[in-house]
Amino acid sequence: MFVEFIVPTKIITGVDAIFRLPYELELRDVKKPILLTDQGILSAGIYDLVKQAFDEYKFDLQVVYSDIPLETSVDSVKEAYRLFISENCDAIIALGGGSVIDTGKALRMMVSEGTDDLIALSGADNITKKGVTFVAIPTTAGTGSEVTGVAVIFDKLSNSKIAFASDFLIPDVAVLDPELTVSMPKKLTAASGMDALSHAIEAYIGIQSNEISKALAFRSTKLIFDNLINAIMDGKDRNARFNMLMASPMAGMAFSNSMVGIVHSLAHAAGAVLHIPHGVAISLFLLAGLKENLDRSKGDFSELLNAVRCDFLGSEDERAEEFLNAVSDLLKEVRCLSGLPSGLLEVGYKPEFEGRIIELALTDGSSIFSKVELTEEVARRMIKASL
Amino acid sequence: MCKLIKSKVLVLKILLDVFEKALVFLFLDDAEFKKMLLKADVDCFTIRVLKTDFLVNVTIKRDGLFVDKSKSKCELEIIFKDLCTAFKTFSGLISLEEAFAQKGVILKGSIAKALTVTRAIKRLQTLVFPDIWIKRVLKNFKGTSMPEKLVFYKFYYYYLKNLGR
Repeated sequence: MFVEFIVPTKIITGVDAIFRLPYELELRDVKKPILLTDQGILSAGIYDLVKQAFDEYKFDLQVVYSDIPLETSVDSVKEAYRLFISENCDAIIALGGGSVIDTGKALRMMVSEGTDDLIALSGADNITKKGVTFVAIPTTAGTGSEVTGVAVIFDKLSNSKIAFASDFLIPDVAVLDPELTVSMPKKLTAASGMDALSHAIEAYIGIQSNEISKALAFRSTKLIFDNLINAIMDGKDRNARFNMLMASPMAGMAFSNSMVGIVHSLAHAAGAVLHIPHGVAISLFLLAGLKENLDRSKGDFSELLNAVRCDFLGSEDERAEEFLNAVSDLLKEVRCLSGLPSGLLEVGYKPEFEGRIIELALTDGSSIFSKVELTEEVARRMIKASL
Repeated sequence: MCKLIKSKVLVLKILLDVFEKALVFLFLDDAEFKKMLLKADVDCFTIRVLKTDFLVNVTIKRDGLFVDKSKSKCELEIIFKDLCTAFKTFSGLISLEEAFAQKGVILKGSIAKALTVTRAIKRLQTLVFPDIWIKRVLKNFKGTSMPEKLVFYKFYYYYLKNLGR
């Protein structure tokens, strides 16, 4: 057994956590940050909430780049880089979902390496400097991107998603304020919640799972099972929002160190082919992927059941099955309440897409860390089970 | 395992030699291995150990695979962070997947292409290590077939015949 575990992010979470942001910038001697966000955040008034926190301070929060698309691209990162350089900025604040935070990570890479050739920096542990201060303010609860060292950027030229992984991508500070998530629509709450759940479970059962990641993943699983339904039913339930905001980075820290598995491989592939949001794709493949893992992860599933139904007694096999039943029940309820699709056919899947999805899944980095070998046969079975 | 790293260095040199020769041999002799490497769509890849002279530079062409010691830049570089992880991987004590999972590897270039090369190397490990040795580290390993066993013997015959070349 060998464990390398890193959690360098300062996490500030709670009601009004956003008001601590000026202090954190001051502490790091930041004078002129660039704020990255998207149009959805601007129109939902979330940017105004953040700006309020700066009202009485001397920070210059004038440099804002808000043209980040739902699926961030090399072009948007380059535009943000040009703005960062021309405005002489000295820090990055990413306010938004996974796409915005990934843009922040990619921008930080370009700034620290002093290059606008982003593609040349792709790969794992391929960056040599940490670079400027980077603050992530997630407005969804699920990606865990605020504590992870992974970024995925779409490259229009090659029509593919380019992955970057490095400890130097992990944000310095994550500010998690439930107030910033109360306006999140039901469907997005559900999709991002399922994403967090998949991070927790796949980190728990992967080949690089360890005692630290298991502790985080276990508690995260419990928080999601206890709070996701409430967060969907009543978006203004700040307690549920807060708990989901806690669950997300906990699962994020777990998977950033122990990685994810075949659920993510298929979800990444289907997401690219069908152009569906990542959380939606995850929700479609979660159960099928976990079932593929059943034989090799009975002990882990049996342990995870304690986070969900601690009163269930039975053999390891029965407990593992029961855990999958619990996930299935949660999925059904989440779909019923939020309108998340219940099968691939609902999101435009056609049989002719199967080959391309399998091809992409087999070259997806996540499959390396799964106990189950992702073969064409396994991928085909997962697609069939998720129709 | 790595306490006696100096003696392991000599073993690692031998293991790298086996690895290099296996790459060349299997590319010619094992259709599946060749198909897997060509699927990676890389002209050249390097496997090396950080800050050392341990290096395997591989150029892939449709008609053959060439190993050279020149440190020319490749589009894909798989770099072990330490000798110990490299030793464990080349001796079949852990798979390359595990080396990645343990964060023992730096990767320069496309992760998707590296994954395809990793699968090919896994195939190589399947063919050049005895079943009893490699079944501990490879996922879902069901044992090699008779034709694959034949490749194993043919490779070691080829290796011993070309020893020192």
